[in-house]
Amino acid sequence: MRTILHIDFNSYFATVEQQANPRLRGKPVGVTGGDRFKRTVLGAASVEAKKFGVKTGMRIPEALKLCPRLILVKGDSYKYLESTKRFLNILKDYSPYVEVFSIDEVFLELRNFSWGPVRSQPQKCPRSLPFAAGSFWGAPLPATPAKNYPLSPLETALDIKRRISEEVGEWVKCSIGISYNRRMAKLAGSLYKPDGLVVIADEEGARFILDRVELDEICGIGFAIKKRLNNMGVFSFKDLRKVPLEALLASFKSYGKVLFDLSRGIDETSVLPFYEKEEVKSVGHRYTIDHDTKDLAEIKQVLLKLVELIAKRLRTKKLVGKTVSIWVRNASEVKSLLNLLHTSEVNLLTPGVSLVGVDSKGQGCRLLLLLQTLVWRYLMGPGKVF
Amino acid sequence: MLELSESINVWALFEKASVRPFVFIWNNRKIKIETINFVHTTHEGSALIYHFSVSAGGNFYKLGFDCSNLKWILEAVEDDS
Repeated sequence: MRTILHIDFNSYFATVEQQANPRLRGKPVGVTGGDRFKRTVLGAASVEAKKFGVKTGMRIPEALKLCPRLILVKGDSYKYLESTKRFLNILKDYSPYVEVFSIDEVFLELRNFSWGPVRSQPQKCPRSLPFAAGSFWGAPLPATPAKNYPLSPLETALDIKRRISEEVGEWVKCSIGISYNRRMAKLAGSLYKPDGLVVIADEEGARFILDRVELDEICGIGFAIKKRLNNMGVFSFKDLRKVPLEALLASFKSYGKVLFDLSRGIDETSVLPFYEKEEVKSVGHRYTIDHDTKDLAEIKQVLLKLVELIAKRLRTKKLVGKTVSIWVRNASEVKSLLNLLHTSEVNLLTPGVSLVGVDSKGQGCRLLLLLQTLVWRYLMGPGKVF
Repeated sequence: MLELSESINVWALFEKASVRPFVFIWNNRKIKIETINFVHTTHEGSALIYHFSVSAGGNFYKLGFDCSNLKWILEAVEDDS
């Protein structure tokens, strides 16, 4: 059986800021995008801010309404990258199977461990138990270290926490989930925050947990899929297990199998070693202007800047795109101006490139025409199509 | 937090492959660094800059060390004043 750890930093950007500046510790902190306080959303909220209902991604006026004492801190990506680099170096000491899921989330697979016998009844622990109280469900973890590894999975997790505290910073905390596959490890990691350590040891334990969480609490079921499942009369994982595979395949095509397995705690996807990079599926950039604008020249400038950034990354990776997507907030307001754009430049459109464009109201946008033209100008040339 | 870009004198220890500031002089005051909370690096062109987020006397300071010209800069201060 596999042993996978999911390590997720708690309120990452905010915690790193609190690590750097102890005067922020214990206070509600929101990390935001530099000098664009008026327009941007919170990139992260500290644990203290979350107690007021402030969430990552919330607009700043909304957050200040919930927590007037919220301290806004200018984000510093170099600081966060440094911190990530340090904890990745720590993780590589335990296994080469380190897959970076995001800047603050990593999967680590420990191999060569054997698990203990499965218990007939999973332990029934309340969801909020801290790791110190031994919150794990299912079979016991191997108590003795496996060959070639000095530590058992649980000891490894505790050792990782200790080293993060020593080498990244004492204020930086992470939640660790341990399980027999990636999805269950991620779910385990999300059950107790901050500074949790939760184990889901087997499929029996997984079903016990799955029956107590919402459908969209697990990675792989987002808002849209949840809605479709609800429309089918599925409101829990217990309901989902009752749906035949054929019905799921008919409704969700190949993803139906993923949902079928998910409801049973099955996931065969492997953890990539750190030296193997996952195939790039898309390349994108976004930018929020600090004021509303209908100025065509300014819009073109922003688009050009975004296209330059995308094209630079594509050239580095030796890729070209076949689909261009764009998301514009309140695009309908500038649509009349943008209508002018395509008239002279539409002739430069290249066959074989499809477009997906949605603004915040779900409407197509003429801006695509300009964007496609700009993008295609930069992407012409040999490369792998993704 | 007050953002600055003020050249300062720093007593620092260069040890093996690391640098550790322990005292700096600002506004005619000798400030003894109690803890280095976080260290990270950035590049300005080809210059490598080390940034030290430090605490002294309950105040927060951010120091920058430019490896290209060996200059120390006080980048930010947060105190009770």
